[in-house]
Amino acid sequence: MNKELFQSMQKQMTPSPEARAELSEKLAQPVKKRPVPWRKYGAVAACAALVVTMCGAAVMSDQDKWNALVSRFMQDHPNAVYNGDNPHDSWFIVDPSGSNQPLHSYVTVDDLTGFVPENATTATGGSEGGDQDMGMTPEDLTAAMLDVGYTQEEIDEYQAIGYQMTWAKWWKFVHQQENSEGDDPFNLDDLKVFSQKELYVHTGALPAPNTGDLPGGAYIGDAPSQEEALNAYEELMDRFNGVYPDWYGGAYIDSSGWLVVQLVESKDPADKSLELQVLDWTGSDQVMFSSCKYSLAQLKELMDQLNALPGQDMKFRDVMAGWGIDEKANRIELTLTQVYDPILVVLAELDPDDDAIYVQVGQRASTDATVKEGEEPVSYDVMPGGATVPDDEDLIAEEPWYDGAHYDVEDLPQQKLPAFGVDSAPEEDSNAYDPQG
Amino acid sequence: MEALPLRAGGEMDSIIDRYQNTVYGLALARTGNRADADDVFQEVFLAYCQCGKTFRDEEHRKAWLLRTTVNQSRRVTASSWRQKTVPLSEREDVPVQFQEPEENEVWTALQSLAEDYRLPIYLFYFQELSTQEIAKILAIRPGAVRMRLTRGREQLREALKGAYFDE
Repeated sequence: MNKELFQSMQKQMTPSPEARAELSEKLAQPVKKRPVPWRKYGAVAACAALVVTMCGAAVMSDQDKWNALVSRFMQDHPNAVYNGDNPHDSWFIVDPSGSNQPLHSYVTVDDLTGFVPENATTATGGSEGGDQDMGMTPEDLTAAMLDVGYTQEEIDEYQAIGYQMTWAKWWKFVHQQENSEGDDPFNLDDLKVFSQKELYVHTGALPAPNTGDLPGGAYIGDAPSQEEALNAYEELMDRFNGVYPDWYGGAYIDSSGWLVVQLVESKDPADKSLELQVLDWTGSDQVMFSSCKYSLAQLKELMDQLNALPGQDMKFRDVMAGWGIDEKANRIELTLTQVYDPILVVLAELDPDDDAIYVQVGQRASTDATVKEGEEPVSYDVMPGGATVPDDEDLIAEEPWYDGAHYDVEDLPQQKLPAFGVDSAPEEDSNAYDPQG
Repeated sequence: MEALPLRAGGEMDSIIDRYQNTVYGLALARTGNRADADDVFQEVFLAYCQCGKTFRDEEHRKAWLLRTTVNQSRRVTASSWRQKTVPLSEREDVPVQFQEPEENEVWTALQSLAEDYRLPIYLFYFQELSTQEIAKILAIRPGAVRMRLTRGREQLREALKGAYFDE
């Protein structure tokens, strides 16, 4: 670009003398406090009151149902204190000393009154795969691609291929491209190359999961061969030799017959060295990777603690119906026969983040619910009971907006980032980017 | 560069002298006409005078002024009064004029870009800000700034047919 030309133009961009004089005049006047827009506030308050009234009338029946549910819960939990008006507010147990102890969340598997009550800190938005990753809808993908600058034509072309993008993979791609050297990091070719490496093509013609009970009249022979994935899994286990490293979060075979190895997010270096090492160990090209929060070693340690609970309390033994590690969901699933507050308190202590143990209250689990050590990874797609994950926030950067009162850069909303962290702009500028380079 | 008080409100003439072209230029690039840019220029410095803020350093002050300029420009161009009345008035038809013909040509090409591309291009080439600074001012990701710069530059090259464009 012609620097002198721009500098010359910039020098000519000066406000008119009239504007400057007018500004000086305004500045010379005593600073007036901005008038309080009472009329505007009044109108907003009136609208709010109207909406609350209307909504109150409309949801009366739901509120009644909720009140009934609360009453029932209070009968079951005489020591519980309810802190709020909706199912996502917190419950606490009040002990005789007066301190509040949090309860672990749980999900009832039998439908009590049309609600699936959740307690404590469990949030909404469950989907297959738990909190490891969530698939993107075409609308999500379109919005995300637009955000980083893809054109609609490019988006259409990409979506026509049929890759099944997930949020984790998307942010991985964004992070990777933002740190790339190229002039145009978000180009379609790079996205295609990334997708080819990381994603499935969702053609709608994928073979059914190999459960032996296939829908649509298919039979077991239609399922993809798992032999190579099983061999890869065995190779991996041989390497571990019974001691799981802190980066290993488990493994499972997915519906297309690939071995999916879970890598603990906090231990996975960005240089892909872990992936390369696992690929080297297994010597298979049917190995994929996914990220997770807990290592298998952590989950097994937690399992040991759970195994000890029935011996501590007779009542615990009665209510604990079955428990085991679900490597795909990267958590322990525990089934209780009934809601029993003391065990929920213990579980809340064992699992302070409320996501390592998935507690469901229902009928006694069958014996095969527990995954035994050394057992082969299972292949199933639909997790029982669903999973709860934090609400995924809107990831599109918000446009700045002047609200009439604040001008401060720091007061403006921060860019929202995905839960697992994507580098944002550093606080202070370091290196200027030169698109000519 | 003379050190000015970092507390907003003091030494206003000096502050305006130092930053008036920065603020006005961005407002002009964003709104496309001098009358609106004059309005934005006044509003920004009035807001600066009233904000009562103490800045960390000159960079912080400059970032604040630029961000406020973007907000004020949007406010001016998005106001329903302006949308309904200004297109029929004369001032909208007065083109921004520079001294040299090639400058007018570059300006016209710049104005032909979509706002998403125009502002990063302006801030990068005219104000000589880094992509990180632009990202903060426009509240977008640095990667998106780089992408917009690249594409905006391509469109600018196309519009100028290679003239005044010294790679």
